[in-house]
Amino acid sequence: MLNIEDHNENGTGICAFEGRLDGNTSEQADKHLTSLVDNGDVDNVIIDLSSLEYLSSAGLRVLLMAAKRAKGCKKQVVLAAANESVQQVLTISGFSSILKIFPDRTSAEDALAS
Amino acid sequence: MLFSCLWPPSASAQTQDVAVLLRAGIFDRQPFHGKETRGWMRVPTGLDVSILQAISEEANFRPQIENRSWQDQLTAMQEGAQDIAFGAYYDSNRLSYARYSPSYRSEENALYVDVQNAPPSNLSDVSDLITWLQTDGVRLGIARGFLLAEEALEDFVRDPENSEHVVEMGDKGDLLQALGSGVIQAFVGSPLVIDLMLHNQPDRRTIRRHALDLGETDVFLMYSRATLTDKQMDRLDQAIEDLRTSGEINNIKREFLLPTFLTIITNQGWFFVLNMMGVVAFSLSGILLARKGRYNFFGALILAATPALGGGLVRDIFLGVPVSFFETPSYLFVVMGLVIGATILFKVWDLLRNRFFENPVATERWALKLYDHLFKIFDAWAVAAATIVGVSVAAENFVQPLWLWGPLLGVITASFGVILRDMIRANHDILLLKKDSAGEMSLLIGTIYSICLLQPFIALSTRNIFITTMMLTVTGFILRIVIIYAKIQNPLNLGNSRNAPQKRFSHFEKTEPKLWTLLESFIPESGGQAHPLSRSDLENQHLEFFNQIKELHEMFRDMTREPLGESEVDRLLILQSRLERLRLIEENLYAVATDGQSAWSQLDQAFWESLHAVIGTVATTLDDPDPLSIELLTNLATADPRRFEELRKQHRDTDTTTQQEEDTLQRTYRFQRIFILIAEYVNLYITDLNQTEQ
Repeated sequence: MLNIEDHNENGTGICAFEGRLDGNTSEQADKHLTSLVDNGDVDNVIIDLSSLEYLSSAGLRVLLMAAKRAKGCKKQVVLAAANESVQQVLTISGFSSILKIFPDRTSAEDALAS
Repeated sequence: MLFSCLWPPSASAQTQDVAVLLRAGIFDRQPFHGKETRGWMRVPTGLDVSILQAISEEANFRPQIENRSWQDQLTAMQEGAQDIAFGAYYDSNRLSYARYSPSYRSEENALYVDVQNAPPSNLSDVSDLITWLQTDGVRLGIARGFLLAEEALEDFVRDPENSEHVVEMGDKGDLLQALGSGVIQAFVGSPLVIDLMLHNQPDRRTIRRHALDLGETDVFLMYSRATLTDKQMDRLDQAIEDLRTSGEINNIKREFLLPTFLTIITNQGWFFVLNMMGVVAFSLSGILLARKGRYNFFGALILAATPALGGGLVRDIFLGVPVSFFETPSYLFVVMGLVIGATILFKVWDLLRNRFFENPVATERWALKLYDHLFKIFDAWAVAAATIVGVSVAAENFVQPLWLWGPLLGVITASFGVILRDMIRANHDILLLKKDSAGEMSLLIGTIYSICLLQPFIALSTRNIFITTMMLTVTGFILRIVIIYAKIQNPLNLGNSRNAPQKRFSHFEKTEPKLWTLLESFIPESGGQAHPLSRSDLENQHLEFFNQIKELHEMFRDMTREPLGESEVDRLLILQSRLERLRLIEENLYAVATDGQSAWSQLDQAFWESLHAVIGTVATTLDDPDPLSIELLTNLATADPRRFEELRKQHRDTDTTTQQEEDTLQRTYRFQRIFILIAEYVNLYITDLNQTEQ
């Protein structure tokens, strides 16, 4: 089960996940992220992981695909507020070397604004 | 001193009538007539001599040529001491004692000036020339007895009123001297004769041919009415017509004039540049190999000089002519200068790179790519230019038949240096003799060039030869570039194309993504989580992987027994290393998946999810290696390996560890090994990708 909320905040796309991002919900997450990255009014995307309980391998690949898509159109996808278990998966996989991870949404917004 | 040369009567003459003696005279006017040393004798040679020989044979005469100046020849013709004179211009004053044959050739007229006192740039026709002579008080030199093709100019020169503008001189040597010393400001002469003289007198570099077209003068045989009967003269006229119709005269002209043109051309600045560019290109290719192979300065010098000068050396030895770089040491100086310059450049570059670049490995890769592109471009130009130079040198040295020896000497010039270089490098597998097609391409371009030079569809002139030469050099260059960049393998390779190394490498590359997909299947995702397979399924996949990898191991083992090329050996080593990493990844994955099947912790789960995602990413990228995926994969491979240590430390610090947690922590070492092996594999993959892209 995954709830997704996304909106455009002054050119920064915010996508907040709540629940589990796994093989069952990855397609839904992928659609949201794709439309957000492709949105011409969005310069960069912050994925808010504060309410994400579980990140599976399928979820990791959704994040990677979003980062790749964004790079292709000179945008940036960053992650914010991952809990300990999600952070652990990102670290072990090495995806933290591809995706920038910020402790919270505000610091992510500040970093993108600068 | 008087000398004579007798040709034996032709076969036809021997069986019919005895050939009639035909007395002629000769003076030095190369390339039309002159003398050359054969053995211990000085014998007549040149275009007119050969044509006279052919006409005499055709008309059943036996020429006897004596050394005599032109004026002496005219006197001898009047007195009946000479029967025939060749290389004559038409002069109606001589009709009382001589009869003219039909014209058997023509002679171009050209204006020569001193660049230090050049005519105005708008000199575009004869009237402009006459105006220049009259208004600027210019003196025009002309050889005594030379008939100008342009009637208006001939009239001007012969008009006594213009005597202050015209200086008649003994011969072309006097004209050159007078122009050089400023006695005259221009002269008209036959470009073949004058250019050849200028070629032999390099100190007269300020004398240049002007582009003004002054037409062509017809040239005749002149018969003595005192000694030859009308019937004999008719027979000679008929022989000229027959030889002209059969194309024989044209063949003789081409045979004699081509080497002369090429002698002139090969000594012109643009040809020197063409040749020098080939030398530079071959030198740089050797220097780049020396850099790649970590040779010392002397080694670099040998690797640069061998391809740059070796082909020409072998060619000159075959031809028995002076070695070109002994005569023109500037070639050797250029090679030495390039090696010294490159050595300094590499040293400075290495120093800067290690000090100022954050990622020297990436910089090195970029530099290697640049080297490789430069190598290919230089190599293409060198092969094309050396081929053309080889054919030209063959023609210049009268090597007959040119259609056979021209291309062969072209190939020798372009290829033998490279072969020598590779022999010095102890590279048992000389690419030029295997998958490369430079040799065949040289033969093709050399043959086309030789045919163009030999065939009458290109009128012989320095301009036409220049155009033909440049067109074929550029064609050869483009052809070689296309062959190199399109990676076209030599279609004339005698090996079986089905088991070519490249085919087997491709087979490995096609199998690789399948192996990764197989590895991914060791950890399927079900119920929203990645888990290792059950024990029995795992054993099946393990066996399947073993079978697939065994076939690849055997394929590579067979290849190691074959005489592969240098680049193929490099590639094989990389692919073998990749296969070995794959084997180790599977071995570790199988081991960790069979360990503690019933007791996976949350940390284990994080590892399985991560591993599944990374293996899946590698499999997808290998299947469709677009640049962005490659970039992401490269970043993934550079992830800090210390992250595992920190993770274990965190877990040990947080609480008292149970046996199950301790088992999990122990398993993380094996997981860590798998991640490190994947990173190594990715690095090998990227390296190979960069090299094959080149």
